[in-house]
Amino acid sequence: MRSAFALVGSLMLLSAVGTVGCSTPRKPAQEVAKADLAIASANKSGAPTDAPLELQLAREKAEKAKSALQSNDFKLARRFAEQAQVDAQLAEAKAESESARASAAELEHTIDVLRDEAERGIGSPR
Amino acid sequence: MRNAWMPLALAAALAAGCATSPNTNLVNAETKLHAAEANPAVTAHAPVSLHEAQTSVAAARSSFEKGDDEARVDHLSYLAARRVEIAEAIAERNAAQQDVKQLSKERAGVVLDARTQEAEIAREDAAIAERQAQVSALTAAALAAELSALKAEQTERGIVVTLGDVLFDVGRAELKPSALDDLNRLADLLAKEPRRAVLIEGHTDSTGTAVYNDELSRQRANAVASVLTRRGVAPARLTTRGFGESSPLASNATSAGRQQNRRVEIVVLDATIPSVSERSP
Repeated sequence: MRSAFALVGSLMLLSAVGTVGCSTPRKPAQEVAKADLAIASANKSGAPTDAPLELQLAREKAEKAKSALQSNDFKLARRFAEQAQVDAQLAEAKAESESARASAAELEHTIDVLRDEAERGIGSPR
Repeated sequence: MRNAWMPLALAAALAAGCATSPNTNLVNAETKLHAAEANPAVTAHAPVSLHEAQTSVAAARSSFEKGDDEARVDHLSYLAARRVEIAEAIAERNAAQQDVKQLSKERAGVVLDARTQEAEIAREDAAIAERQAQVSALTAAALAAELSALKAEQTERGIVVTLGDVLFDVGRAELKPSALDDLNRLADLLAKEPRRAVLIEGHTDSTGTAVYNDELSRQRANAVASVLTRRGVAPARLTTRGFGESSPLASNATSAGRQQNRRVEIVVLDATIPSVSERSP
């Protein structure tokens, strides 16, 4: 009797967990906003030229997230928004990495030129 | 009470059992993570991002282990894989930014070296200029000594060297060997001033006819010019003239005066001649 009662109780608990987990997701307004912010930030970096594919992917997913939001498919909206955010973050990180590499390469070149000039300065008649 | 958890454990076991086939997206995320973890650049330059990626991969793994639906595992694996890529990109960015800092220092060093070197060169230039100044001072002193040995005079026309009549036999235009010392000295002097034109003017006393004296003075001037030419002075620089008895220095009434009047004057003009290569044919 006691064990049967426990069985019923645990089944009820299980179904309650399932209900909370699946059928009433929160409206992912915050996730969509974060995706938009990440895209805006990536747009300001060199991403439009240095990581156009990732940035385009982020934009498309952010649009899909908004569509899903309007159709009240919160689960889908949340996933698209989260993916759009990481895509945009990756686009920005790649762009920043590219720009830092370019700066380093330019500096190396400048140093080479300076060294070259200095060396030629010694031998040339003045 | 222990029995109460039995069905829950059973349900979990069943759920896990259903999801045993591997999820390729999860495997992909985990493979990427392992590569990033093995990359020293990532562990050194993006430890925080790498940690986030690790947490994200673990969440995807746990979702898979829990038996979540494939779409959710796929989604979490996608996020996890992206976070690994972000960590790698941030590691590259940070490494490159570190390079930029290092290179900026290096450039500053090179610029400093160049300035030091320029200062060094300027110092050497100054030393060379000083040595040259010393040398030209010596040269000027030597020149002055030469000129004084030649009894040269600085006049308005230039430097005038007078060769007395003792250098010629009476009535003759050939130079005595004793004149050659002075002329050699003069040729050396002229070699140091290669652009200055030289006038060679012959003079006589009033003994004999004016025509004879004109001719004799011209011949003596020419004799001096030919010696200088043989000593390497360019003939183009030399102009000879015979003044005869027309420009006496002293009275012809005394023997001492006449001796003074018999002379060849060599004038090193302040005016320069164009160098040979500059002259039109």
